[in-house]
Amino acid sequence: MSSLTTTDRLKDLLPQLFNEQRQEGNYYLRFQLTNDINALLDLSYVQESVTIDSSQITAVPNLPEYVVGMMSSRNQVFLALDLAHLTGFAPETINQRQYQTVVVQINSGKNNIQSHEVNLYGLTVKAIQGISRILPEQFNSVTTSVPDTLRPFVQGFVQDSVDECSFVIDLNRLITTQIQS
Amino acid sequence: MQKNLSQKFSLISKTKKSNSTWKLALVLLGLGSLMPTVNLPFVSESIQPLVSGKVLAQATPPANTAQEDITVKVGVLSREATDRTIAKWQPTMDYLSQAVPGYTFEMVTAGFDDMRAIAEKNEVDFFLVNPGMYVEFEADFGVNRLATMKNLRLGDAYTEFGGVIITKADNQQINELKDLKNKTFMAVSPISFGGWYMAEGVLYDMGVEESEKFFKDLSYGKTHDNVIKAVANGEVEAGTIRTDALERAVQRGEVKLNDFKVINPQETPGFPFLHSTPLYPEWPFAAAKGNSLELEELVAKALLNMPPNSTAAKASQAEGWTVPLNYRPVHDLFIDLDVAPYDEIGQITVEDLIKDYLWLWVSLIGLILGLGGYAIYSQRQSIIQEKENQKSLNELNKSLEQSAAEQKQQREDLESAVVGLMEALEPASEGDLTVRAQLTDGDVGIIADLFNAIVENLKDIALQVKDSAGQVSSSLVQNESSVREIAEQAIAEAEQIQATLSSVEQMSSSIQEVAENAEKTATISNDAFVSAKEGNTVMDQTVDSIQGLRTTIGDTSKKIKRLGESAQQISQVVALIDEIALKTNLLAINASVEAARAGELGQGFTAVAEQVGALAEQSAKATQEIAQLITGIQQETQEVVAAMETGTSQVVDSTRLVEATKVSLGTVLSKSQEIDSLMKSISAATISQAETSQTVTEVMMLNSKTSQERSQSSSQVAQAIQSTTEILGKLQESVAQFKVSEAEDVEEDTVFSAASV
Repeated sequence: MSSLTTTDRLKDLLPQLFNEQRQEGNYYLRFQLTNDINALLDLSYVQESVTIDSSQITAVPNLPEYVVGMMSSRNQVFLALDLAHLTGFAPETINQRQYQTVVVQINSGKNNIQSHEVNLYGLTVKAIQGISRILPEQFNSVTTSVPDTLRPFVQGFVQDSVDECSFVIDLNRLITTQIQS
Repeated sequence: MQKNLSQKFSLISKTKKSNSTWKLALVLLGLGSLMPTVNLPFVSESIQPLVSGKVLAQATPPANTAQEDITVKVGVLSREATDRTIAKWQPTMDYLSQAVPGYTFEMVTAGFDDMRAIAEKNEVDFFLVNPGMYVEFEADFGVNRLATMKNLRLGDAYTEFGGVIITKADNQQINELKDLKNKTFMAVSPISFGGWYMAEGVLYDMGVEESEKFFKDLSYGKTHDNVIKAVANGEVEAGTIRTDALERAVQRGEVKLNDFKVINPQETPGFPFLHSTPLYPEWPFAAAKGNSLELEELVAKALLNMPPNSTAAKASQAEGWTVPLNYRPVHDLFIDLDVAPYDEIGQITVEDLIKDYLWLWVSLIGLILGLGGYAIYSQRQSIIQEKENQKSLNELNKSLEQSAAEQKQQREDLESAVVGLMEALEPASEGDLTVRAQLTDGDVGIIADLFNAIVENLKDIALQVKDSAGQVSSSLVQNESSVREIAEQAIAEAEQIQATLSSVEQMSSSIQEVAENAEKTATISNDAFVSAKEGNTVMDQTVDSIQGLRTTIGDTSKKIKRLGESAQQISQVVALIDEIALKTNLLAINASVEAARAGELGQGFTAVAEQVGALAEQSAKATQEIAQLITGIQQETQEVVAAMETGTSQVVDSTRLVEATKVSLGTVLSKSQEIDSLMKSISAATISQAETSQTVTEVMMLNSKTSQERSQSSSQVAQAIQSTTEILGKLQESVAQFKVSEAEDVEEDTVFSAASV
């Protein structure tokens, strides 16, 4: 085996990497909202995902409680929001050494057509889990198992396993109803 | 006739010197029977000078003794000069006089012939003669030996001696006994024992029967010294003497030993002197017949006790005296040699008949003549006597008739008086003691008076007896009851002792049990001691192992702590990996985002990024699992550490406990030792107690026996008292028969009371 080249070893270890196959479905970012609740976010909103030290987040006074502070990425400064707090749960990311943050871009042209400016927000979550490809038929309609606070911002949910499911969050509605209103 | 007889007698006595005087006495008896006829007592005149010995010396003059001592004469055979004999034996006489109180010993010396005469006359009480003469006297006069001399020669004592035949040393003709034939020979005396008989005996053994004819000439030198001198001078060719005579002469310096030669030399162990014959016992000290046994005993004792260094022993050249030896060899020798007292034994030849029995013929003739004379004389005397007897008989008859008439008158008087007395005294025979006899004149009157006195006395005695019998009876009754009481008490005592004995026995057995139990306990405590000891060692081991456990636990807890630290480090590493996985995931997400922006072209990249993200996600999950595991390990490690600490403290505690236990075990050990020694002492004490109780039992048994014996003896006493009472009753009855007062009809009781008053 030692005679094999590094490429051969990679091929041997990760066969799916080289056997390209066409996969259907949209990409979603999967993350942990609270300890109990997993959530999904359409990847088209996501600009990047970073871990950021608390020292790089500047606390800003006189702002709502769900705002963690001001942060910067790729030469742009924008607000870091605690998503759990924003969706009505207890704040999940307070006084941490590092924050796992999903940087999203939201087109505010819907409400303000003149400007095509893109608003960036850093959403701090408990833990970023990864990316999942989900087919549209996998979505189920909203059931009663959705928490009341979250219900207005849930587009649907995916049954991951028997007792676990992930809620797809409609980020546009969340931002518009909670922040821009 | 008288002259004739005297001549005949002297003739006989000369020729028959050796056959001696008893035969002579027989002749005299025969001749003496003629005495009444001749009426001449010649015996005393003729015999007197022959038999009287000379009194040569006296140990102590009779005048000097305070009390009159009995004089005892001792006949001493003198073979040699008389002075030497006196010097030799006088101290022995003095010694005996001193040693035997009440007796004075006197010496009478005599030669061979004179001594025989003295013995025949029984003039002496003791003899000091040679063995030959003693044997003769023993046979003839019943002389008895008391002691044998221990002759001292050349410094040693010897009780035997023999004869020696000598000749001059330069005489070549005589070398053996048979060479003596037809030679001149000298002996001491024809009846000398050592100086002739012994040599004759040796010749007899050789076959020589008539020694006088064997020699050319046989002469007698009277003394040993004379014989020695005769041989030395060459007067005779050979001679015989007793042993040691030659050595003595040599010692005195009279002759030299080398000048002589011994014929037929003999060797006897322990006898150093030259001798030619067998050995015979030494001189005896003999007692004549008729002495008191007491005197003989005293003399024998004195002789045997004579000290060897006393003057008497020294003078007699002896070491004293010893018990009498056997003189049988001397007898045998005399039988062989046909000499007195055995001279009648052997063949009687015609010559012997004429020679030896001439005296007998003479005495027979004398006897016949004497008897005839006596018959005539006595017949004549008896006729005269008869006539005188007739006359006196007639006178006697007359006087007898007169006295018979007188006696008859007297007897009648006496009879009447006696009858009167008897009548008066008849009631007394039936117990009436009040009667009295009438007093009359004469002998009967005296008897009556005597009778009256007797009856009076009898009456008094009867009264006294009655009185005493009464007293004895009453005291006997008292005694009887008290003896009975004693007997009962003794029986009760015996029973009590028996009971005590049984309880003592029980006690003894229980003591025995205690002793056994104590012994068992001692063994058990000993076992306990041993086990405690073992426990102590086990405890030591336990302490050691606990200490080891403690160190082991300490080591283990250190290692566990280190493990905890390692787990901490691992968790740090896991955290790092987790972070890396997170960052990888985020990068994969970003990559996917960028690929999605690229549109169709980024499709492949998106898939790769997606897979990288999936891997990062898996890594994160694995690190989470690891973190959980590590956390679990850390928790458990902490628990283990805590448990270890508890264990360590527990180990410390248990070490302390074990040490305390060890201390208490040591206490147990010493205690059990003490118990063991105590038990041993208890056991010993109980053993001695058991012995003591045994002794007590024996003593009690002895007591019981004694009390039983006492009860038996007291009952015996009671019986004896009863029988005494019976005897007393009989006594009273018999006393009651006596009538002692005039009040004859009165009862016996009043008699008693009167008597007691």
